[in-house]
Amino acid sequence: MNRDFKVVGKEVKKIDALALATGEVKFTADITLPDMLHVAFLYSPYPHAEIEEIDTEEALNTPGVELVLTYKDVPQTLHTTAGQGYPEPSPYDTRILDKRVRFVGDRVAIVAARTREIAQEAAKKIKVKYKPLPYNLDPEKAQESEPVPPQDAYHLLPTIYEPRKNIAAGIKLKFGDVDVAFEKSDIVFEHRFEVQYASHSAIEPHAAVAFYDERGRINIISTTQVPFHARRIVSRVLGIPLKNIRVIKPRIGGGFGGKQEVFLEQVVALVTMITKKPSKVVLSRREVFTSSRTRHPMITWYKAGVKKETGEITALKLKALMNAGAYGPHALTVMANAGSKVLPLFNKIKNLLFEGYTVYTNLPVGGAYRGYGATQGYFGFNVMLDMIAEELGIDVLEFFKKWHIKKGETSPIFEELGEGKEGVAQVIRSCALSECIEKGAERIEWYKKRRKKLREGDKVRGVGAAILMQGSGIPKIDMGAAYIKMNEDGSFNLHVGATDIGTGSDTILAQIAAEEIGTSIDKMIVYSSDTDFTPFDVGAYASSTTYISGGAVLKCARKIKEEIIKVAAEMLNVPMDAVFIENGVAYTEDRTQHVSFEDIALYSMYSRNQHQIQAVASHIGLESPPPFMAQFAEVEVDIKTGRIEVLKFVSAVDCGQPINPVLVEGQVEGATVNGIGYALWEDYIFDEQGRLKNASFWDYKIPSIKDVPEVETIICKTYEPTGPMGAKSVAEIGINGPIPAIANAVYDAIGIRLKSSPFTPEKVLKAIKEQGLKL
Amino acid sequence: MKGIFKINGKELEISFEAHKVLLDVLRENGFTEVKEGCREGECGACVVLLDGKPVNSCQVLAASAMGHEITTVKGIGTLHNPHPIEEAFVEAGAVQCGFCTPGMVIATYALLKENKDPSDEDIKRALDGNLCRCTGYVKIKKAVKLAAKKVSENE
Amino acid sequence: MGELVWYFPDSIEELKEIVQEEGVVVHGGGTGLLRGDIRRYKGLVDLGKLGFSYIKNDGEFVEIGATSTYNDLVSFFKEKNTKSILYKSLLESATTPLRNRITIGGSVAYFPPWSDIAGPLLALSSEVYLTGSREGWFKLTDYVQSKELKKGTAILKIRYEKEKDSGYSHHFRAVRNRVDHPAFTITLLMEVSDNREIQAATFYVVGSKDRFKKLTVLESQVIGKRVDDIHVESLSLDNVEFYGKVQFSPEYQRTLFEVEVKRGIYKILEMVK
Repeated sequence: MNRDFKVVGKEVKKIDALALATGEVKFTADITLPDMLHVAFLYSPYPHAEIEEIDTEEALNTPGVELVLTYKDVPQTLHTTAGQGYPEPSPYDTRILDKRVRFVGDRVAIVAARTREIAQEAAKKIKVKYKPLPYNLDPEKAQESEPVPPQDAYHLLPTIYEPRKNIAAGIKLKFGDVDVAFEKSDIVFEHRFEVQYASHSAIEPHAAVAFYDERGRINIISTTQVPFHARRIVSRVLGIPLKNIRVIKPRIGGGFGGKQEVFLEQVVALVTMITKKPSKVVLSRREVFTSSRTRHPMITWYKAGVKKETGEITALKLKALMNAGAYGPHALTVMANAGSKVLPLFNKIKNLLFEGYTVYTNLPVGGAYRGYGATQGYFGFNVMLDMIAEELGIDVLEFFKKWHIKKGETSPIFEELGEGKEGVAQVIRSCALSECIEKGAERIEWYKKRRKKLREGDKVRGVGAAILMQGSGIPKIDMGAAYIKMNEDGSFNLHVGATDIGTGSDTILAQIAAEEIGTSIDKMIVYSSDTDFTPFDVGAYASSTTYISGGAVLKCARKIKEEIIKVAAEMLNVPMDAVFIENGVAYTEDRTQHVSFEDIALYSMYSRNQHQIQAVASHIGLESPPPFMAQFAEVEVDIKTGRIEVLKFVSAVDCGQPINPVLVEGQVEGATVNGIGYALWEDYIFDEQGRLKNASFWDYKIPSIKDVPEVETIICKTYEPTGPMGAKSVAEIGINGPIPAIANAVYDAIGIRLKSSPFTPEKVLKAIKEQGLKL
Repeated sequence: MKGIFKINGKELEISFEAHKVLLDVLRENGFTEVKEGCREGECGACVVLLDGKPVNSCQVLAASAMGHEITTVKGIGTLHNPHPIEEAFVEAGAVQCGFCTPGMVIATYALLKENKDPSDEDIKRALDGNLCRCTGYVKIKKAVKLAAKKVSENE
Repeated sequence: MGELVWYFPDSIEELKEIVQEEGVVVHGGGTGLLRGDIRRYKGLVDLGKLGFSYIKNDGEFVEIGATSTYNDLVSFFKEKNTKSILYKSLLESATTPLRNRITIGGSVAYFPPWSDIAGPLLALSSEVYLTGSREGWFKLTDYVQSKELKKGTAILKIRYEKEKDSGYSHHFRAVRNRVDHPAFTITLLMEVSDNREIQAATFYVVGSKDRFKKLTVLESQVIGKRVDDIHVESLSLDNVEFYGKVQFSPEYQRTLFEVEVKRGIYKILEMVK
């Protein structure tokens, strides 16, 4: 289906861009209120310890300090900081402050003072006597190690949770009999892959502000991706009625999953409740690295059995071991996604086993991070496919095209594997993956460059590819809602719970509304993410906003259009079905008469049957149609130093109908470059006590403008019948391919298989030594 | 201590502690368009012009900036009277979360003052101190080129 | 802790007195000082009013005023000598906003192991002019290794013989990405006569266990040789050791050092040829 759109699919300017570019916008950290207190934390220097004594006197006596809180002073409610729907599929294993600290960087105390500097200085004056406990930094030894979570930690859902064995989550899923199938296979591949810690590195550090409004309600302004979950969690953790909390999301300086976590809001709310003064916390970059959230490291073991003649993968086993760190936000769901977002892509495998565990260690805490398990799972998956195709002697792109899931097909995994419960059965209704593969291959000049091992001195070139899918929201769980009202001049207020964290969702939601109503984008006034003034939305995660919040906006727009037509019909004195709308004007069928939106609005408010033209709608995804992508890397490897240079990177994406092509490209490019940094060098470096050695941008490098290769994005348009205006999601998928595409390109260049990211020159050299160059 | 700061063409007398960096002095006096991303001179969110040259305001001790010309992004353009560079960033789709954008705009402004027609290499060099995690820099490069075009057309 | 005192001396005489006070240090661009807690000092001296932001190129020396920034130098070399080893290192060093702030004086006083210009300045046999408890020109190598020369002094200017920066050169930095600070740098400087004889060779590694090291073993194998007679692969290297850093392990740094020193020499020889 190819609709002729007027607003959707067009390069509409991001509605908040000019205000951001001119520095007009206030972010959370920019907010200052009279008498405001600034909050700082004291963090544990031990990877695992019991607080035996804690003396806050000197800190409290520091001029300017107004409050010092230790575990003795704060509610001890167990909760998860994961900003997920209720009941959260993450263990309740966290307290605001606890007597026990579980990683270097765990919170010990909270200090509130007149300035940030005083608070930070005072925190250093708190005297703590720790009793160090045995600790473990190795996920493979977690089950035999000292239990990390609290004795009384629990899980709301009936899933595998064995805190005494440090098991934060477990999944086992089986179709057919893999062991029998492996026996019967001609070739069996078995390999271990490993991906590492990483920081989201949104340029805006996490921050939150709390204050009492004139009715004595706690207001929280926060750098959150999940304002409604934040309200619910703060209410529960602090034991205050939800009605007494308002959470406001201003502009957010990037999230990438790092801000899908509720761990500052309850702290400022508590400080404000106790002191009756506004309070603010802004994390330092160091704190963001050590004490916010990270990418979960994961080890995957892939085993595949293949029939030589047909190339059919008859059996696939994926075992995953994920490191949660010291607490378990997203412990189950990130690990589950390593299977559920990966395995259905090759849906014709009859015998399948997916077994995953997430374990606690005394290291920084993992959380949601763009890609959400799929990034971890796709590394081994795509490298295995590359190996299999090579063994079979066929072009891997042909192999991809033959076996990937297609329109009209399904996978049993969709139904079996969901988020903390079973999934939702679905049939793929749109898929241009084969086209993505072909177009991407063309741009990277695959057939000209593959297997050529072009060499110049010590440098050898190669190309590699990876194919991917993600989802569009969490089906039958995620809900978004929208409200639209018409103003006297024919403009509209669009209120959505959806959370724009820099993605441009305010803009694309306005485009969907304007398109459906039949008006222009400048007539839409968007207000989003305020628990008092917008309807509910789960928030910005799981690639859900376009699909789910967009679905709500579309429904809402349809409804208000009905209302508009109703009034227009009355004014034009024709039946409703004889009215149509074009460019903000309602016409009679024969175009002989018309009334403008302005006329309609004025009439509805002042003339007859006075009423507010308005509508509200909510939407849940009944399915989660995956966007698809093929990514291609061209690399140059220095065989003497092991250094990989990415020369070119191509992404071809099917995200259904792009609502705003420029923003689609922006999502893909941002994810891709983040993924390239993750593939090549981004990593957490710990000492033997679990202290992070590179907790700064000085020591932890994210790609700069100088590091970006030639990056190309191709949009392969499809029409997703279940999506708003045919759209699917696009935010996460692009981060999943760089690791495997680069690994496969390195193999193409020098015949070395890389199985542990990041692919530092050091690791590449080591692999060359172990495996031997094949030039 | 006390000193005169010339910010966006206006002279202001500001009291501040002698060890404070310019970033804090600016933000504490309402210039919150100067963003704090790392305080280590690495991210560039706090970049301002000091006597016309981009510097990380977190790496400048405020006392040493007294009497010098300081320009924040609001000294370059405003919502109601945007600079062509700012318009170029909007049009090219170079603004996602926008947190790094004020710094990017300033870096671009300094570049175009010196170089009307910057090459790719010139752009990379001029913006190497400004990190962005959202865009992958593709649209930012495009924006700088568009800005160069707009700025020369305006002259 | 009392509040930090700022000094803005109008004359060298005034500066001399101030820098000899206990706990007072010179403020260059501030970027080095800010890596630690600035409040550990009693006073900071700003040289802004003394007129040391200049680069002179008219005599036998290139003389650089201490408050000249990296980017001042970049602009200077861009016009005067794009083959300069100092220029090559400056181009890669730090980032634009930092290059606008880091001063040559601060950089020499601080002389961190990740400094990109340390190697070139050493290789050029630079000298620093001090005032305060000591007055006059001192060898850079002496200055950076002597606590006594640093105490109570301020660097006013840096110079090196122009001639020295006119030969062939190569600069390598061991980094993860392009805005990383180097784990170590290699600076190679060679003078080659018209009959293709290597008349001088100065090789430095900065960031090794010794902080910096002159590669004398290597130098001795090329000085006096004809370019065509050098077999890069058979050159034996100085024993350089490295500490583990966030960028790379000591073993890898050693490997990288070996590869890149030889590559650098090879490149220079190719340039000559």
